[in-house]
This record gives sequence, structure tokens and C-alpha cells, in this order.
Amino acid sequence: MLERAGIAEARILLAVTSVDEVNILACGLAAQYGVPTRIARIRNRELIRDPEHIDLAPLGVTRAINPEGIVVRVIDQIARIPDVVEVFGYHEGEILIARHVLTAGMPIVGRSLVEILGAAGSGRLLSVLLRRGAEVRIPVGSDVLAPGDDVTTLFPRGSLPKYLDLLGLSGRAARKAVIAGDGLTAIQLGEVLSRWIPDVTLVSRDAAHAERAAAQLGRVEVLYGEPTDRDVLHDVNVAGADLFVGAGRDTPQNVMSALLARAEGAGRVLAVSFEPQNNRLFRNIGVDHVISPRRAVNQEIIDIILRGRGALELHLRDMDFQAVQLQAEPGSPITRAPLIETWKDLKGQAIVGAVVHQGRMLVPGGDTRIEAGDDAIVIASPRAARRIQKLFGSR
Amino acid sequence: MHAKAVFHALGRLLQVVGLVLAVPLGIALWDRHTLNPLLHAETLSFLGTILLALLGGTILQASCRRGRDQQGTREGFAIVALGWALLALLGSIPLTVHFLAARAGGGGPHLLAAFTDAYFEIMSGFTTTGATILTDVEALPRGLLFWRSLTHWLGGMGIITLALAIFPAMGVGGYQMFRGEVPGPTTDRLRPRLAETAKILWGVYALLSAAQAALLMLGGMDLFEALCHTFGTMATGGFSTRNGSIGDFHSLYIEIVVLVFMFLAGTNFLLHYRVLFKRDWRAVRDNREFRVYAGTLAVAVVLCTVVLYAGGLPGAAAMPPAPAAEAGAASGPPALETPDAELAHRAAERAKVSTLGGALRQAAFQVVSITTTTGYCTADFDLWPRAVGLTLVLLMFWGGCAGSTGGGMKMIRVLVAAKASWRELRRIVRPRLVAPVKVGEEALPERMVASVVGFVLLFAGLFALASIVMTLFIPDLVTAVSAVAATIGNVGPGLGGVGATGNYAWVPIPGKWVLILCMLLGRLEIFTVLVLFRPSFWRR
Repeated sequence: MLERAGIAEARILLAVTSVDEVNILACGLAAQYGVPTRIARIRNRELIRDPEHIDLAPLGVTRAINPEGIVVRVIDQIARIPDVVEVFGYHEGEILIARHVLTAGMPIVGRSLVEILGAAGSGRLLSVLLRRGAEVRIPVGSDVLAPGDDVTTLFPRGSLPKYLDLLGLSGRAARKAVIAGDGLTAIQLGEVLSRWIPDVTLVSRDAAHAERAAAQLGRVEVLYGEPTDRDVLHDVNVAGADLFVGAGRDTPQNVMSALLARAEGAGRVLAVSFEPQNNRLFRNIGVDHVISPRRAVNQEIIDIILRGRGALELHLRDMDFQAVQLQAEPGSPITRAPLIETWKDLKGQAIVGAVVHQGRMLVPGGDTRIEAGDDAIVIASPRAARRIQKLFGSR
Repeated sequence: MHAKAVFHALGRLLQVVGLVLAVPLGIALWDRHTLNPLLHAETLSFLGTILLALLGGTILQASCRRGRDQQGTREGFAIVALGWALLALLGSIPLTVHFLAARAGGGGPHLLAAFTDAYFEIMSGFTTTGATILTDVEALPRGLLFWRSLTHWLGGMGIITLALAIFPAMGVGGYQMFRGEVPGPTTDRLRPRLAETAKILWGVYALLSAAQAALLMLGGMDLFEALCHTFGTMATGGFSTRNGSIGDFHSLYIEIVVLVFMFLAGTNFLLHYRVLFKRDWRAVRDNREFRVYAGTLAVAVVLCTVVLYAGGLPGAAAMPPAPAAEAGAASGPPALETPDAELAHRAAERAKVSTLGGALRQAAFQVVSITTTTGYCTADFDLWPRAVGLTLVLLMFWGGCAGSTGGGMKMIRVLVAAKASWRELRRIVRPRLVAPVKVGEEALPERMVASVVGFVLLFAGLFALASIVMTLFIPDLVTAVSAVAATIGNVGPGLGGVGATGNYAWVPIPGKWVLILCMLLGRLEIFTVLVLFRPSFWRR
């Protein structure tokens, strides 16, 4: 079958069936055919949690991806940033792009970007987009921020506390979270959230699954009950929860429980949706964040595959801009001069938000010179896309 | 029930003990040059017992050969429970002979009393209880002294485990026997073959014993005393060759060596194996039971030290009257000879804890000794404040770790029972709560939790029942209750008349048999013995 699919000529094998063993075997076979990149979807975390003891490389897997782990990372990113409108992670979440709508009383309101970022010593943060009313543009240093501004900022994960400080959100970290669901995603999410949220409760509608979840989770309280039952929600004191996540296997159930939690007084409500076509609808009816596992996993795979070969595009919601990840090819125009020269035609239409040079993220300035092999995250309007591709390509 | 399978295994056990008895026989022969007629009786009794054991064992083996492959769960439990009773019976023969000979000049030989005392002493030895009926230990011939201590060592790791190590063929269906004898709610196998696991456990046990004996000899003990005290320590037994126990040596070094090895003996031997042979220190760090065990000891030592140092010993007026002095007492322990002697004893005990270092030294030794259920003493803790005394009684129940030679309920059971209770408390507030009982990261199956809770309840119930029965024979409540606690927990010394400076000689014969049963129940962890009393157990 693999031969018929042209495995001998393939550069990448994506083994993403629902069976881990089949995926590993496919990678092993692909290795024998000399396929250089072999990606396997592995659901069993036992196989990937401890690389010291279980090394998949000798079995032919060059990269393992865990779909539930990716979804959990996305939810964790959202959970860690209070009031965030949207957040994207690049390089497995090492680089974040976050959007916030500013409100009166935030420390950065009434100050210019130069003043804010300079005074805070925040050399590793960069505001890349500003939406003010109907206008969406790349901000300049003299822009003074006002309440209602929708600001998109790019920063490495390590600078998150600094970012929250700037927005005055440091003291608003979630203290209580409720998760509805008992599958791998919900269990992993419970484990991850309980590392930094003191009170995490998981509600499972299945007794056996609840037992399994409780056995696996150390600091998470597990309750058996229907997450769409108001009594159950009262029992978990959902009104006192800063965060509610509908993370079960059933989309309507996730959305319904999230809406009920909202009605009961939960802070932010999130729902995992396996129906991407309805995500906008779910947001419109009151779910703060809808997480699409398929989209998250696809982005991760594309991030892995295309890192170095093309572009990963993320469309910022309701804005005519997209975040693009590109790698500078040897001899490409972008490598020939500092950004102040190479980027002058794109000013106002696109901005280089971050450069990853030899694994380290830099916030570029005008004198930054991108080298061949460097990754760049660019925020661009669609009409600038073609020119940017040319800048980073060698042809 | 396949009786032949049981008898076949019992025959093998008799052979093992017959061979082991050659060691005290050798010591008895060595001492024979003194021409003491009692020593003659000692030698002959050992010789006779050895012949009886080997002959009886061989006959049982030969006549029941066909049944050896029919061992199942029930046969395994029967072998363990009956085996221990039988071995104590066999082992008590030399001591019975000695008592009959020694008491012939006194009130006349009394077979039942002599046999009861001998059986009590040897059962106390095998079960590593360390409760003694001897009023003058030092008067016992060295062969018997050695045998008495050796029973500790054999019983500590388990005579059946030893037999499994020596005769791997016994291991056919032997897991139940192993499970019935090894303390704790779970029995891990280090190797797929049971005989190899048994060998490893006995190997580690022997290695640590050799180390302790060598260290004790460095502290000035001769080989005989070093071995006897090593057996008493590593088995968490508590038999000494001295009337004053370890305190008689007046050596801080010896106390420290004994204390360290008591602590090690109360630790799961699988952990020792992992550290000694696999250099796996993480196993120690990650073992929740060990952490609770070490933490409990540390907290108890600190608390007792503080109470002892800050409060001192209560004056004579504050102490309850000696049990023997109670009006209408049917029986009681002998009191100290004179009031002056009593006062001098109290003054000496008070001096021991008058400094912070002294209080720490005494508290540490007594706490570790009692918690590990060893029972060696360097102080008369019966004179300590009642709060400390009762803390020690509580620790008797807790005992050492599962898979150790320590007695009591075992730390893991206390931990699991406490967690199960805490879970029920949480469930009152949140009925929908799903919370498996966990030890470390591992969630325990509900069946095991129920088994542990059942064990704890049964342990407490039997303790209460035996205490009530004992009050029929011992009027002093503290003495009666602590005697049961000390025997069912396999500790040895209790409080009051059976305290650190007392013994069980004065306990009436029926009371001694109750305590013998308590010792066996405690060592074999109740279920193994009680299951024999179910009629369905004996049906085919």
C-alpha cells in the first residue's frame, strides 16, 4: 500500500490513524524507504512522556505528535491569559500572539507604545496590530493607546508575566477551574491546569471514566454527574469558577455545559468543538473561546512540516490580517540587508514580529538582519503576502 | 482441602527447623564442659527435638508425597497457620525440658505450666514479639538463649519464606504461603520465580544481620551476644541475653547501632534490595509508606523528647498505684523489693532524661523500638508521662512498613485506612465525589481498600475482645490492655505489670494462652489464622 502511495519518493510521512501502533509501524516502514521526515500521531502518553525510557526514534518515528496534548496546550494558553480575545502559539507554544481589548484603568491606557514598552523594559514584547474602531493597522511607536483599542502583541512564552503586568492582569490568574469531560483531553487538561490553578474540578458523566480520571489525576477533584445538570454545576460551585471548559467528546454537550456554566456565573467559558463549521455560532451565543482540535492539530502538523519550507498562516479573527511563519531561504532578498532596507516597501502593510535565530527568539529592530535559515513570524495583510513570499524565497 | 499437600509441606518445615536446631545444639555441646546437669538436659533436649523433627518431617514427606502438587490457596493458608503453631510446639520442647528440670527442686514439676511458659516464650520468639516469661534471662543456658534469639531471626523474615528459598520445589503453588507469611497488604515479587524472591529477601536479611553483628562486636559485644542481639534487632523481636536489655550495656554506640538497625528492620526489605543491589535511591524517595514511617518516627521522637525534657518524669505521687498493690487483685506482677529500691529506680530513670541530650537519646530509642515493634528498652517508659506512654501504645498498633520484619498493622494500612476515612468525610459534603484512595501516584483498587479497612476493623475488634478477656485474668486495666496491644502488635513490653522492667511470668496460664493466640494472629496478620475457623475452608 505504501509503495502504491509512492513512499519511495516521499519526503514526509504523516501517520495519523487512530491506532498508535499502526502509526509507529508506518513510520518504521517509511524509514526503510528512506523517507526523511516521519511523523506519527501518538495518543498514548506513556509512549511520549518519558523519552529517556521510551525512545521512538529507533522505531522510525522522527516526530511524535499527541493531539490531545496540542489541544490542552491551546486551552492552557487561553486560560493563562485573562480576558484574551485570541491567542496563537508558534514553535510549540514558545512564541505567543495575544489579542486584548483595552479597558479604562489598564496601566497602558493613555500611554504611547514607545513609552510603555521602553519604560517596562519589555524588550521582548512587540505590539504588532492595533484595531481602533473599524481601522486595523500596524501600530507605530507614537500611538497612544485608548480604551476600546484591540491590541495584538507578540512575545515569547517566558515574557507572559511581563505582558500581564503591562495590562494590569497579573493578579487575575484563575483560582478555580471546572472541566466537563472525562476523555484523554479532559484528563490531560486537568493535569496541566492543576499545576498552576489551586482548585480544579473535573465532572464526568460516566462512572467508570470518572474512576479512571480520578486514578490518574492527583490534585484534581473528580465528580460523577451530568455536566449539563444544574444541580451538578451547583455542587461544583461553578459560580465561583474563573474558568469552565467543556472538554468532552460531544460538541453539543460541551457547548451546552459551557453556556449553563456561563448562566450560573462562571468567569470565562470554553468549549471544545468537533464541528468547526459551527464555531462562529457557538461564539456568538456566548462561548468565549471555541477550540477546534482538528484545526489545532493541523496547525501543529503544518508548523512542523513547513518550518523551513513555506508558510503557516493564522487568520486573526475579524481582522484582515494574518500571522505568517516563514523561513528565509539561502540567498533570499531578506538576507541581503537589514530590515530597515528590505522592509521599507512593506511598512504599514506587514511587520516582522519575531525572528527565531538558532532556536532563540528575537524582537527585530530596523538594524536586524535576517539570516538564511532563520524563522520569522510576520503579521501581514493579504495584499502584502505575495511580496513577503518573494522576500523570503530564493527564486 | 487437600490434607496431604498440607502435611507434605509441614514435613518439609519440620526438616528445616530440625536442621536449624543443630546450631543451638552445637552451642550447648560447646558449653557442656561445665558438667552442669542442666546443660546435659539441654543437650539431650535439643538432640531429641532434632531427631523428632527430622524423623517426623521425613515420615510426613514420604507418606504424603502424592499430595505435594495439590497445593492451592486454602492449602497455602493452612500450611502457614498450622506450620507456625507446629514449629512453636517443636521449638518449645527444649525449653519445656529445661523448665521441668529447673523447677523440679521447687514446687514440683508442673507440666502444663512449664509447657505453657515454653510455648509462650518460643511463640513470642517466632512471632518476633519479644514478650518473655523469664524473670532471670541470664540464668538460662547459652544454647537455649541462642535458640530463643534464633527463633526471632527465623520468624522475622519467615520460616516458610526460608523453606521456599531452600527448597524451590515447595514453591509449587507457594505464592499463597508466601502471601500468608510476608507482612503487609501487598506482596511484591522481585523475580518471577518465588524461590528467587525468597532467596533475595533472605539474602538481604542475612547481609544486614551480618553488618549489625560486626558493628556490635566493634562496640565490645562478644560474638554470642552480638548474634543474639542482631537476631533480636533485625527480626524486630527484642529478646536480649541481659536482664536489663540493651540498657544493660550502658553504651551509646551500641544503642545507636541497634537503633539504626531497628529502623532498617522496620523498612520494606524490597527497598533495601533496591538500594543495596540496584543503587535505586529514587525508590526510597518515592516510597510513600517509607516517608510516612520515617516522618512518624521523627515527629514522635521530637514530641516525646520535648515532653520528657520539659515535663520530666511525674513524681511517685502522680503515678498510678502498682497493679500488685490493688486490693483484691487475683494476680499481679512482683513489685520492686523495697520502697527504697523503687525510689532509687525512679531517681535513676529521672536522671536519664534530665538533659536535652538524655531525653532525646531515650525518646529516640524507645520510640523506634516500640514503633518497629522490636521492644528493646533502655529506659522504664512505664514511668514516663502517661501521654508519652499512650503515644507509644498507639505506635505499637501502627508498626513498621509492609514487607519489613516489623509487626503491628503496618504503616501502609494505617495510611490507607486514614485516607479512606478522609475520603468518606469529603463525600459527606460532596456525594458525587469520585476519589480513589491513592498511595503516592498509585490509585488502589477498591477491593484492596476494603480489605485494609476490614483488617483494621478486625484488628481493633480482636484487640478489644482479647482485652476484655484479659481483664478476667489481670485486674489492672492498663496492664491487661497493654499486654494485648504488645502481643497482638508483636512488640513485647507493654505498660504497667508487663512494662519495660516487667515480664509475663506472673500472668495466669489461661491469660498466657490468650496472649499466645494474639501473638500468632498479629504475626500472621489475622486473616491467615482466622480463615482456618471457617467451615467452608475445610471443605473440598
